[in-house]
Amino acid sequence: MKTQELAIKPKMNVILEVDNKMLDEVVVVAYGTAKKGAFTGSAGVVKTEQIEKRQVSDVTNALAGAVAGVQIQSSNGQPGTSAKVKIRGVGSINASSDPLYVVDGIPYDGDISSINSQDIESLTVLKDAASTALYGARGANGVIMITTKKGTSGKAAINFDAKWGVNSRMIKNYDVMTDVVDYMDHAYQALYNAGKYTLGYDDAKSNQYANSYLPVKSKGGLGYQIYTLPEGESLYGLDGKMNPNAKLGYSDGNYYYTPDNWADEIFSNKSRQEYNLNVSGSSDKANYYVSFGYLDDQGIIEGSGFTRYSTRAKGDYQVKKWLKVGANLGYTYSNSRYPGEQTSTASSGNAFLMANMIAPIYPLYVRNADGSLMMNRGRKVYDYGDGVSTKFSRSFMSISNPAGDLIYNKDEYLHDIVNANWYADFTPIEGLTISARYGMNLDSQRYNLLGNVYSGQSASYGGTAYQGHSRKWGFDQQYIATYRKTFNEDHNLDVMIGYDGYKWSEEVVEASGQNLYNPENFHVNNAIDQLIGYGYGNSYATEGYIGRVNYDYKNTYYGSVSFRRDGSSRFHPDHRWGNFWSASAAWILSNESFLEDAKWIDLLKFKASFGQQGNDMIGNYYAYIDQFKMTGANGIFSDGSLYYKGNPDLTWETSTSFNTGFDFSMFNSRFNGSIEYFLRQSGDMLYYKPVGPTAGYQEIPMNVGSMRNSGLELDLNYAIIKNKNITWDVNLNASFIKNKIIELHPDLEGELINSSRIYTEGESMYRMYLVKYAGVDPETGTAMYWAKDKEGNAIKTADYSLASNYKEATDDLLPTVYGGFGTSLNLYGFDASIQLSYQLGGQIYDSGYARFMHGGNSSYAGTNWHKDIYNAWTENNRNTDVPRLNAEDKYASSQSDRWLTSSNYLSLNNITIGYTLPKVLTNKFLVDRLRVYFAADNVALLSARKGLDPRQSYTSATTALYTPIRTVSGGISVTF
Amino acid sequence: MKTKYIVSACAFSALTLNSCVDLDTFPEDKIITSDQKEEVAENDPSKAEAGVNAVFTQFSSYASIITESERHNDIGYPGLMLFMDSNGADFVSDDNGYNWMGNSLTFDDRIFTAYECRMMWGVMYNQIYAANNVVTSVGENPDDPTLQFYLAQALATRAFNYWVLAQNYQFNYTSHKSSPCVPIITEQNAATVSTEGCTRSTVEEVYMQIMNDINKAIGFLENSTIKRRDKRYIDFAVAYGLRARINLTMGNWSDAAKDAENAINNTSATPYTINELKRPAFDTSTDNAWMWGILIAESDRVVTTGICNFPSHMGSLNYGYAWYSGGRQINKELYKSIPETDVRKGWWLNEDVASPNLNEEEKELVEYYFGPYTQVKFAPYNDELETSTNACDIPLMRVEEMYLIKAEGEAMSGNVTGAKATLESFLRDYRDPEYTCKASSPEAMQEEIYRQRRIELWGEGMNWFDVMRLNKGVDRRGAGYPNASSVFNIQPGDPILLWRIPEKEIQANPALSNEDNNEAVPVPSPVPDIE
Repeated sequence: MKTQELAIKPKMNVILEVDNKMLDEVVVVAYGTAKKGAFTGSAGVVKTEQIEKRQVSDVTNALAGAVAGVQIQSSNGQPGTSAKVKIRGVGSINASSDPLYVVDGIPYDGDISSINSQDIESLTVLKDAASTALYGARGANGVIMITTKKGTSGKAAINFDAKWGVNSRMIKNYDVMTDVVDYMDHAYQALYNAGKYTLGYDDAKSNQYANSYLPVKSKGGLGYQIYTLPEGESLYGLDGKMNPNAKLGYSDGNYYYTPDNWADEIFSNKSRQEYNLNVSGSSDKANYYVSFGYLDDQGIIEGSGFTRYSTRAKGDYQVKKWLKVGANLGYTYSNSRYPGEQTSTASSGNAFLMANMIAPIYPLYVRNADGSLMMNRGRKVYDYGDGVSTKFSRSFMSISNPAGDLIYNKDEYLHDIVNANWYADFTPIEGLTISARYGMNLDSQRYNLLGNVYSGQSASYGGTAYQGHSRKWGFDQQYIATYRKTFNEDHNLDVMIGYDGYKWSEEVVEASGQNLYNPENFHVNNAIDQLIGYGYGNSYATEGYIGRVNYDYKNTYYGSVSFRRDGSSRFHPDHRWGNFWSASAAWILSNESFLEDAKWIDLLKFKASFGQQGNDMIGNYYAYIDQFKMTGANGIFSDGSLYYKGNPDLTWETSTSFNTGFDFSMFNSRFNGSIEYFLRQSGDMLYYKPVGPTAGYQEIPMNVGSMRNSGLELDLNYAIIKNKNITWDVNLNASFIKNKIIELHPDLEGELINSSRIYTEGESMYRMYLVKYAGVDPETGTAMYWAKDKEGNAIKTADYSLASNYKEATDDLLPTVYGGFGTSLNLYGFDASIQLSYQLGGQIYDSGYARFMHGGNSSYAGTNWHKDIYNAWTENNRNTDVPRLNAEDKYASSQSDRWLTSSNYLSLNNITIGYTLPKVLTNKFLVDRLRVYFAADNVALLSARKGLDPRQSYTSATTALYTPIRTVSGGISVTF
Repeated sequence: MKTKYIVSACAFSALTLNSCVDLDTFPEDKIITSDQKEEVAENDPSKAEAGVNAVFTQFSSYASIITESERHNDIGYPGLMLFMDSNGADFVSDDNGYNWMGNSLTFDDRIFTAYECRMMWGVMYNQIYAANNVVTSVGENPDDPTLQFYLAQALATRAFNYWVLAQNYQFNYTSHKSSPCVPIITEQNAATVSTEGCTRSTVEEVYMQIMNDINKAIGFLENSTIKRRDKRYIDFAVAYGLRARINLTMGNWSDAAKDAENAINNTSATPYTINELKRPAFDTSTDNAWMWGILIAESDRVVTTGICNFPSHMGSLNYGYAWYSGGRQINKELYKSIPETDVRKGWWLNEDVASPNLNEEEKELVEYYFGPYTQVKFAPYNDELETSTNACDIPLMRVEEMYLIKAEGEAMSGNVTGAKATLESFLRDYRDPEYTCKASSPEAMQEEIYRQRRIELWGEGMNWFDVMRLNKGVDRRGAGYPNASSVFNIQPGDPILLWRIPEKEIQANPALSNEDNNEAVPVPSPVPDIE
């Protein structure tokens, strides 16, 4: 503290100015909190101000670019779904890399989207062993501590916030053909070339061949006739140009066929609205926070959306001097309209796949012969391209029309989520606190599915009904004793011992039926055929004994050791207990005399930690034991089909971490940040060792090998201007990360190949194993791939099956650096902020692009083309790397390193602009604070190719997924 | 002030009362652990049979090979039947996105990373695993008649499994006895194969294993008092039928004929009559002609998937993929060789997309979806037209085949007259009253019987074994293949005919390396079709 010199006045309040805010800030740590100055580990914090700005229905999405060392990947933009969070890389080949979530001190296995992000005070990402070792078997991938809000001010405050916005597609499609004639020309060319180059026809016969197969669903034709021609004329002339007499639109007497724009019909801008109300306050003895929230996010396609009602009541009370009790109850109801298949990249039910990939020549609606839309009792009739809705059968994804399915099917998940924590702290003697803490999380989910009777696949079954109910229940109990004492003024000691037991179970019942009586009713009793019921349960448990000792001398030298003995039900009783520990230290250099003169330094801390955590997330709950399928019917049982080969010796994956670095704060806290180096090495990796299928199974879980992630993290914040009326901050974080496989199973002799992935000792795990593309044969125009001849010399071949014997490892795909940056400005009541994230130096397999670059083969017939296909080989364009169009060429766009693309990106995640009305004005209406704002989320993405979203994963990206949603909203926030 | 100590003491005692978390957890599901199995067997000894039944359940296991993505042709042995038939020249189909056998049509299934390549291998060895488990648990020489019956089931199916493998991974027995075939996994090495791997045995060694197993099975079944409950199980006659097949494959002609005759004499099965074949059939094991089959229940996973089952890919009269893939046609030349007087002519649609076997409603349906030569041999489940419940049983052995084996065995062992009599009486009684066999040499007889087998067993997954056994090539010219890219003329002995060991096996089996695999050769190049 600074000393303050004050003139003595009769009545005076002494307010000590806090010299170093950082030191007093509190960090949420395992089983408690620590002052930031005393914290010896590594943590990143996202505060409520940052969270509140983001319009996310799931808070994990707000972590993008926000914390050094944390990377967010998302391959599903459906509102209410979580992003994948990777803290300091991926530690294992097969085991999960998901972090552990801890909500108000209780491990949480539920759906993160059930927690209203507006109720969250802070997200603390614990990254190193010193911070996470106390979570033992579950801490290896890092821990995200979610702390909910509580009452702060003495006076009760009422906050109300409302925002209304519009969703749109953030990622637009690749640069594909939109013009009907353009597409037809190329489809014709592919057939013509097949006749000419493969079947050996002359020009006239090739032309005739192409004209006759173009409207047919065979040999690469499109399956639809959409042009009307004068009697006896062909669609394409010998010059390869469309007959000028051809008129778009064709009637076969019953139906009229003309293209629709699928993307326009399937995607639409929809609304998002959110209202939050909370009341909070505190007194000497009590503290309370009560909230209600409503969110309705309509997504961007029909039948998709997320509606959530959430309430939370949190309070604590100092009953006696030695007894404090508290509770935190949250209830969430959500209705998630979550049509299946929207992330299945090969499914005909995927609207994104259809809208993005379909050639611009197909009708989406069925039309009467006169061209009017066909209606069935007021419903539009959709063309499923199955030869049933109309006479034609679509070459691309026949029997499907997600636009119809999304409207007439019904997929909904109704969740009732109760999240309740209780605690009591006893302080029988000075310095000793004994806490009992119970946390319960109940997730009751009901799943209703109606497969419509009007059209499509479900209609073939007479409609389908499905009802499912699952109940997931987690219960955690913690008993912790903490003793704090200061000896001789300078020696501070803090000892903790405790127990943490957690059990989780799920119970599921499901029923389904086909052939519906009432077409609009999803209840199974409404069905008469194929009535089937299911019911099953699973459970999982862990328990741990924990201990920690913190010591510091003069608030300058800090040391901490922690220990946990942990058991998990995933392993055999003989191998289920493991010991996890950490040791760490910090030194506040700025307290030392040698830095006394450097007044500009507020804080300089050196810290280092070392320790071990575990990972038990092998995926199967009973991985140590062989599991069989029990099946049968009509009184005959069968129980010998192996379902899962277990391994009784299986135990933890151990992760050993080292972390060191500096935390600093300078120039009156205007410049602060941290720089850290980390090394995280997993050993005894949980890993499914492939077994030759001759064994009767294909893999066995094992603890084998080790892998290392290491890197540097930088986190900087600078207040460029900081005065009473203007503050302007900038922030930047960057993470440099390297991955290296240290050791694999000895059987593998240093290398594991798993189809298109290769894992080699000494190399990154993010390498692909691909056929190498050798460009186009200038003579023939066919795609060439590298292979070897009998002498082992490299040769180019058009035979992909030969080349697939000579695949090669690619470079490391992992980006060199990723992170985020942003700035915020407050200016006389106006506020503005912008937040971005980025990634540089990596590569990604652009499978979306690959699909658009096909050569017109029948398996791709009716798939749209990327405009890069204009550069395809022709006799007049021989020097190109795009193979010829040819409906009989199978390997024009086969999997190869041709599709590797830079994964660099810059993503504009959020822009917020607000204005807070002057208090003098608002106070007249008894309003403390009134702010109006505008916020835009997921604003833009810059990547190597339009349409490519490298944020999906480290290795591959596609456009056949629920695209991320851009939301632009206006809002108002009022505090009474 | 005392209370605080009392309450705190309670808190402490809670600390020690932490037995409430039980770390022994188990699934409560259709998935059961080996511990649970033991517990069940103790409480209810009748459940021991369930382990044996797995040998047969494994035949129609869904999605058990490809785990990383859902393949709608990963449906167990019936899937393999479709792959093998698609390899040949008799099973015509269009190569399109809804034809899940496209890779077998073009021989892309020989690429050792192909899904089909993994399925062919994995399905068979999973079946062997189930059989080995039974042998291990029953023991080699049980005295108890029930256990003997169980053991016979395991041994006979194991013989069948290796017989299928042997013909797919090497050329025929008579010419390739010492060539590498497949690894032999039995109860002897089942436990160590996952770590030590296993090399390919020779064709001769594999057939020795097969003969051993089937002989033992016949021994146990010969005097068995246990009556099989249904046709999923192997009885004395089926075991003889299997040995007849094996002997035929090995070129033991007279043994084959003898075994076939024994099978005919010991089975209650009688061939489909001409009358029975005036309608689509072959959908239920309760039909008289069936000796052995895969029994499918409505609640089986393959059925509840709706479209991931044999009838979906094959059937013209039920809902499924075939409606959208264009269905399965017979080789046009082969069809033309069937006389109008042969009842089997009605198993396929003629040039006018009609078959006398169909009623008006069926006719309308097939005209909508299909072209000429499409099969209407297989009936929909419960004969319900357009049904989406695809729970048809799958034939594995019909007694008709025994007559054909008998005739071929007789012919090739020199008894051409007897063979002719066998063939003519069978065909006149059951297929074509006006049938006359014009062949006069053993070879001509064999050729004629081959033609009959192609017709009789069409679509039942048997054709490929004949192609391999008789060292035929695959000449698809004139067969009516819709895609120019599927018209091949593959010569006998072309290495593309052999299936290849999947990359996964080569990589994970320490005893195998790339050099041990069947040769990697380019997929065949299309040739000009002939009308």
